[in-house]
Amino acid sequence: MANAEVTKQVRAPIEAVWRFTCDMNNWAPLIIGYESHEEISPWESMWTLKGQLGQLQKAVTFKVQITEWVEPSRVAFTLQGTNDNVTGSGLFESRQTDESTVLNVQLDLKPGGLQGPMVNAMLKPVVPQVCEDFAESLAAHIEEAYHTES
Amino acid sequence: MPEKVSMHWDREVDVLVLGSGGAGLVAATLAHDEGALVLVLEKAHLIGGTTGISGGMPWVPLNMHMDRLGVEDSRDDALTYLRRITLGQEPDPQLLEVYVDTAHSMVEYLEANTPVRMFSTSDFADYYNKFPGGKPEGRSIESHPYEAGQLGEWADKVRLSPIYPRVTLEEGSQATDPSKMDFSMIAERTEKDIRTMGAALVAALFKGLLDRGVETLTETRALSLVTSEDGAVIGVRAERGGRDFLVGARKGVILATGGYEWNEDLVKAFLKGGLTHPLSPPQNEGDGLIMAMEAGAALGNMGHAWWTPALVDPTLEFEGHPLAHTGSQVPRLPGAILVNARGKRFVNELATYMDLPKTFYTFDPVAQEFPNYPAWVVFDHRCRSKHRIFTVMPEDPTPDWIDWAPTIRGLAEKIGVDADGLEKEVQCFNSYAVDLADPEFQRGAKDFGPSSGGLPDPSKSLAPLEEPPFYALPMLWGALGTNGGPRINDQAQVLSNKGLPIPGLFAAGNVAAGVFGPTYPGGGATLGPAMTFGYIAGRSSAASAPRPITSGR
Repeated sequence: MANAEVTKQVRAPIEAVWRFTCDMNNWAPLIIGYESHEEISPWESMWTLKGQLGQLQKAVTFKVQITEWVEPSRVAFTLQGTNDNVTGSGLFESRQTDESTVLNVQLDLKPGGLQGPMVNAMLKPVVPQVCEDFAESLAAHIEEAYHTES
Repeated sequence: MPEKVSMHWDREVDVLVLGSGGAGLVAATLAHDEGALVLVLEKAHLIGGTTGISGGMPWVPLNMHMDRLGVEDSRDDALTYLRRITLGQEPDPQLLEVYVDTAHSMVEYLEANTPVRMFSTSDFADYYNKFPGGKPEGRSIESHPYEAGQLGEWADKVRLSPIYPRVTLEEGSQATDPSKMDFSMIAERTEKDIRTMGAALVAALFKGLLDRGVETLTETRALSLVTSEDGAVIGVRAERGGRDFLVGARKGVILATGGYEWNEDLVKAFLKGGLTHPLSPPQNEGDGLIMAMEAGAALGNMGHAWWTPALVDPTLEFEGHPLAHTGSQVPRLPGAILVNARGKRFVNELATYMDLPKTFYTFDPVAQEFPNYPAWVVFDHRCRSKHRIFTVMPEDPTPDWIDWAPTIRGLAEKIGVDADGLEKEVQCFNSYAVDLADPEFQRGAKDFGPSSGGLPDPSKSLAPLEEPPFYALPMLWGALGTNGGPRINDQAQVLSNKGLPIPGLFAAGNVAAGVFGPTYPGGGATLGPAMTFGYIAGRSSAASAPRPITSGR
């Protein structure tokens, strides 16, 4: 399994974090390699991401199913590759501290089938970097949106 | 013709090598070892050229590793075989002899003097091994896996295959039966950056250059040759960082720039058929060919390429282009056939990847069309559930880029193939499968291809298409590279239209006229001559008398 967990301090209240993260259109383009997404229902969406695997670029389309929606602190989801043998899960979790919010982002990808170990070895160095870059960008955009609002 | 001017070189060397594939790296090694000051210019941002993404397998008669397999070889055997299959169409019969006499020495030299270590791949036959002089295995050799960490900071700048898993050809990189692949070992090699096939060969060759202190400049594209007043090539005008970059070469310039398969104008000008899906790096735009033509080189073998049927997985991109790769394994599978728009088979699907696309340019003078292109590989669910289909494993979901339907008719309608024709053809082929005999194309009765050392066996090749759903993939016109270009002599000197060497100009690899003409004797027919004539070009350029390079044009 290729996984990553990143925690970021966001200088905004938890409500502002939620306002930004509850609408996937706000943060979808912040994912490295984001190509497109489409909402099928409030709980389901299709995502296409393109990532660098070694010297190759691979586009993967995922069906994303939201499994938990706890306002204002937690969204959990699962992923299923439509063209590829890969499943996964992810989580956004927020916790208010004195003057800011601690945002926790988690992503697990599990390539399946016989090629699973090989693809996993390719993904392992990629996923943490993607997650780190995304969380960094997400925190910055939430803060910018909050300061613009206020 | 530009005026002669005093030259102000950015660099002055003895031998300048253009390109860092197998031909260029070997040429640079030998030129250095023969005492020359050498510089390599590489147009791409990665080292390795076409070799880097290849199987990394040179075809080498009489090689030192054949003993391991207990295969005996001789000069006569090798030449008898080559002469039979080249059909007299090779650009220069003498070069066949030069090749047979030199290729094995090239391998011995590299193994004795560089980190390159090779072995003979077992059960990898000459592609037409039943002809006199052909061998059931032994002439196709490959690199041992190579740990790229030894390249230090250069490791990420050396090209590797975008699609081949990190196994050797012997370990089963061509296997369509997934159970024959050790994916845990591949995972371990991925984590340790242990490379195989062409990527291993290039890494080992390049390490040899690093050890020698030979400099390579990437992202430096040679644009034109600089010549002296008497027509000798004395340097190159290149482009580096958006500026002119002039390199003077006292002893010679070696063209090792690869083929022209990514240059649509040249493809249209020289190839009789189409070539829509090259498998090579996109920098192969014929730069060396254009420079050679400008220098008045005689050309040879221009109507040919290292053909392969190609498949495309549209979810994969390599160096800015959708990844095309050889699709020759798929129509060979039991339960798969290759058909044209009429729904008709038109070739023995087991034909070599080199030969199969030649049937694409069969012309129908009545219909005034090329009936065999486009083409589709069609297979049934039993085939799909047992075999790797290009990038898709049996247990993977069927991706949306593979067409499928519950019936043959439905599939035909979906892909735009004549439905009556395809239904009839499948019915006919299924009867051949029952009889274990293909009277039309002798599929299974004649053996071609990498693992054809054993006896032909129709039972392993012929299986009916009867289990729905049925699937189809377009089979595209691909090539590993082109193999027409400037003619060379036994010293790898480029010949002029008058048949004389152009002083100071050498060529090796896919930029040059292929010494085997239109044929492909076995795995490594591309790389064997590339490395061998690179070896010769390196030595002969270094042995040339230095020329004055103070003025040129």
